[in-house]
Amino acid sequence: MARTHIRNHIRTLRFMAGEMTQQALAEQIGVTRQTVVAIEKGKYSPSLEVAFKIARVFRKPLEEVFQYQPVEAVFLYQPEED
Amino acid sequence: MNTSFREKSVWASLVALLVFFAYYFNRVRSIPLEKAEILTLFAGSVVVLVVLQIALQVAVSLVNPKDAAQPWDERERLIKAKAGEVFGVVLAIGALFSASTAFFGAHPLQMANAILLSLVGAQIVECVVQLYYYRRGI
Repeated sequence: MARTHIRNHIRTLRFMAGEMTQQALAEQIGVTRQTVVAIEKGKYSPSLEVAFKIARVFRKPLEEVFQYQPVEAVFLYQPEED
Repeated sequence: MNTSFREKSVWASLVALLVFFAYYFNRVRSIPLEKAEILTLFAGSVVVLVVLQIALQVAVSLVNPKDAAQPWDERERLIKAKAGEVFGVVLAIGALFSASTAFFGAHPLQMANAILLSLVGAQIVECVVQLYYYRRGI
């Protein structure tokens, strides 16, 4: 499975936001639910604009939502499951 | 991950292209190289392809009316663009191959079919690449 070098805490943040659904988040940031799923699973790195929109939904700074994962550490990264 | 509307739409296009590909090229091999017959077969096949494409796309839209109205998002546009690059390469190779048949004494109708084969083949590859990116990530 293709993985990006960007990890994220969207699943946790959705949980903390009253178990916000992927569909609700998708509607707020203007993408499809499948794209939110792909971002959560690390299968797609969003544009800066979408990344900022996600951070804004959760009222968090960007770096608390997304972190850059160096190449050598990618193999250790396990994305959060639903 | 559920299948998105765009992915279902690509599947519909792929099915329509494969049906066209199988029907037209299977028939064209078995008929004589005469303009009238091939033209009739080609026109009929294109009509079938267009009708099939429209019917399948409408069916997909009816199943997902809300998603069908949504604009393309950035991931979908990126997948379309990347698949488009592959489409261009495959089509270019096919065009070169089609042109080269002239040097081996190919009939003009055979050349025309080689070009058509390149076009349909490139579109099939484009669909497959899109489905790969939708499934595996981009």
